[in-house]
Amino acid sequence: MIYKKSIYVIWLALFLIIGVTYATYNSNIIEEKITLITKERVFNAGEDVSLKFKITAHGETFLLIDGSYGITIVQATRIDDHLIFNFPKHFIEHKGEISWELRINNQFKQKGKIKIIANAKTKTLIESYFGPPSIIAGGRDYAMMVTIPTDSYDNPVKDHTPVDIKHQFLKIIDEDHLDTDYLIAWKNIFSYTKSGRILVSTECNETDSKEFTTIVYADNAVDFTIEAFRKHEFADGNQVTSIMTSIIRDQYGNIVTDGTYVEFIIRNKENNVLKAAGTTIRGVAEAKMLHPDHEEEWKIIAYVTGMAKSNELFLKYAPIKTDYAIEITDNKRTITVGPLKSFMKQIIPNGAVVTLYIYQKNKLVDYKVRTSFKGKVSFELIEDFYPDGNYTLEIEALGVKKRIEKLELW
Amino acid sequence: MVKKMNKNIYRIILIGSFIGINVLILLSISSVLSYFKTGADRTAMLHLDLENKDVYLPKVKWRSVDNPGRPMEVKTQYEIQQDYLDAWYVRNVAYKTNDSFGLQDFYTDNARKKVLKYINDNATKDITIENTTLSHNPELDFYSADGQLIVFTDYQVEQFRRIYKGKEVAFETLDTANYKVLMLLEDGFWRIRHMIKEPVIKISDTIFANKFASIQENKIFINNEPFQIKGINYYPQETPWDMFGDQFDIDRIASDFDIIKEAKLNTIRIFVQYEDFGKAEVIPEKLEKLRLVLDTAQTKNLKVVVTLFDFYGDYSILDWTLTHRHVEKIVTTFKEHPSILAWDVKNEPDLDFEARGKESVIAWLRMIIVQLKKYDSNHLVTIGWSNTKAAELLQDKIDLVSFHYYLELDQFDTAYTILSKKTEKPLILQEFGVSSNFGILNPFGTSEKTQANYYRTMQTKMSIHELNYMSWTLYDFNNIPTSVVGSLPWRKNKQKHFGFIDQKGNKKPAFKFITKQ
Repeated sequence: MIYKKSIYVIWLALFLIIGVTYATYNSNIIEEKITLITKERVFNAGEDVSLKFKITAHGETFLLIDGSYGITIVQATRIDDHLIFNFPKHFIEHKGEISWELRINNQFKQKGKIKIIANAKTKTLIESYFGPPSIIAGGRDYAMMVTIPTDSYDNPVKDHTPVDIKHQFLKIIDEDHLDTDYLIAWKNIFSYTKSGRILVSTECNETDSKEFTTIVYADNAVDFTIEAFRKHEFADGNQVTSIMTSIIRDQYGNIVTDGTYVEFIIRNKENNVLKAAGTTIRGVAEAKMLHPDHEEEWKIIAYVTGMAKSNELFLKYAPIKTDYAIEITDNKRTITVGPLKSFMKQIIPNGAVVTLYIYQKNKLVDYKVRTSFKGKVSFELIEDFYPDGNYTLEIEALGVKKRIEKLELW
Repeated sequence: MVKKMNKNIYRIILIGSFIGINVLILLSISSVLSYFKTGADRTAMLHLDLENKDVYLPKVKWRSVDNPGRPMEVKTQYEIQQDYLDAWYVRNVAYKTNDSFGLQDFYTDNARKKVLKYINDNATKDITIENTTLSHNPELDFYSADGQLIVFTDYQVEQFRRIYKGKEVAFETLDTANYKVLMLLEDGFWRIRHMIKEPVIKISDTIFANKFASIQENKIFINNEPFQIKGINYYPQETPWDMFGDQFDIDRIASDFDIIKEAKLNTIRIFVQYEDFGKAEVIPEKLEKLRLVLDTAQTKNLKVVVTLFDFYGDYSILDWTLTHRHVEKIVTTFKEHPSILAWDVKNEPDLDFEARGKESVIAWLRMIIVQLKKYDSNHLVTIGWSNTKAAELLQDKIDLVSFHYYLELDQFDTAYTILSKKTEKPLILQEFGVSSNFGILNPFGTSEKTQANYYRTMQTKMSIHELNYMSWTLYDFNNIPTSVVGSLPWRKNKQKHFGFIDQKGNKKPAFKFITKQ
């Protein structure tokens, strides 16, 4: 009997030993088990984020967190068998995925991801870019409004957030309803046929942007006409002819921008080209030309280079039909021309051009150009330059040529 | 008399110091004046003349520039890419030093404030981070009509980071992420305004490999025939450690290859020096010379093991991308070349463990192998470890395990057996040999006869173990560059006499045992 009892005791002891060993073994396995208790995987920006693990193992624990702008390591607070990792403030303020990795005694244990989204509860802020600052009328050109709505932590709002882009031009006020995509919402504002100024603003989640503006300038100039204004039609080499354009407009009737450059090309009787230029003010450009001093015919066309041209304007300058005297004095070395008279026999105003050509043995040796003063011009042939001998002189004034043959200087 | 002398000395000191002080004052005034007169040039505001030095060259491949906003100009695309990479670079530097230098050129005010928070936080926690990105695949989402704003998604950004807590490495991570990026053009710089990390959707690239050699059960196979490397390390006699320099002579190399071939060897090992080949911007002329050598080897039916990154020793994370561009250029150029048996990533990198840190070297090697295999999946890859112990490292990354052996002959079998038990990959004794530097200067050196005996014994061991081998080296050299073994004459002298052929061109007794007779 006692023998039997002792066998029971031995069996019991065996069971106990095995059981305890097994339990210890099992608890070793349990010790290795790490569970993430935090259920949320998506957090609003700015709200506290902490990951809570149930863990029995001891050791140095680190959580590596890797967000949009950087990476860092976080240490845990341990409460009994719970490890709590509080994410630093700057990590939870910035939208994007944060991947984490848990290590104990520098051994990899678990990894995962959470997501920070823009906080829709905070006030929306709007950052907008509008450009270019000027466009061309006519509906081909446009300015682009790009708007980046963010939450108050400067995170772009989630995709497909509605945004209104509004614009005003003259009496038109229009509104487009758009959704954000790839962080932004954008709209091309096309010009209308009139020139002027377009005002634009945006709205998102009841936040309004400031006012943006682009100036609409006239389109390319179209063909125009020119007209000449002059005091008389005589070629007196003294008065000024002014040539003016009509009001230059684009195809929609908008007056071209002030300062548009207009070039006036003038062809004379010999087909030589003269040029004058002007810039527009309120669509009109003006150029001025001195009257020729001899009979002349001008054909004038104005161009806005590469864009538009005018009609051809024909101008005729009548000769003065005058004669003048030539006086030779001072050992024939001083030649005085004049008095020069204009179309009513009046003394010509100062500045009429007189040219003297000097020939010796049928060869042009020199010429001199002077302008008239009180109707007269005098030339001096200095001994040092023109030694004694025979010369032929030719004088040209107001389109009239005169010749003095074989003048002997001494 | 003495009094007068003393007086004169005082005078000289007084006058001398007076003149000296005046000279100093004048100099400092003039340097202050010239400092103010050499102010910044007005054009500097436009950032037109910024010198562009390549310091950061991760692989960038634009997936697309199609977008609904405005057609992308090639020049702008280049500028954006440059500024975007610079933005990464200055941020990497900022995280490494916890200093905000340079950030303002590549981040707008608001974005900079965000980055600064990370830097300040890391600085207070005494955390520094070495960071580099390895590849970028941007796809343009939007480019505004006025050319001032872009949005793009940078896909599959591979990023390697080493995080230090104090001076200890706390973490190393390699991961892949997508980033959505908004940049603005402000006074000549494209600056990051928003940056958002997004989940990665894996896109796998299919790689078609055209293997020139394969591995089956620790044997090398070429054209389905088992191949035992019987090889030699090769430098031309005239230009050791400068094979691709100005004195490059392909005829000389070709006749050397004939000698090697006649000696019944089948493989050579040559060296490509990182700096000599132009670092990140590989010099085309050098590649041409390398191609000539490889073509010549092909006509002589010799296989080539090309050792890369010779004399490279930086390994720092910020330098990684430059080395990646170097390896990319070389291996893509020759990925179809049939004479290459294997790329040897680096010669004896374990010797840099002490100076550069074992972790740095290993991390660099691991990543460079990934890059190499990405650009050339046709050729085998190995690392030329300096001893059998180091050869146990990184085995899972390489195809062939190479080691060098210059220790005692009688310990070779033990060392070999220990290593062979630790790997299932083919082993190559990639360098071994002994210098026959016996002479008046070195009465304890090895004679040419002892050298021959050494090779005879080694050849027996090689055939017992059926081991791949490459001896060091074909020639005795006249000049050893200081960068190889230092400037000490006895070390240089030793390095001169490892050859099978002496300085006069005569075959030494060891030549008989260059391969198994």
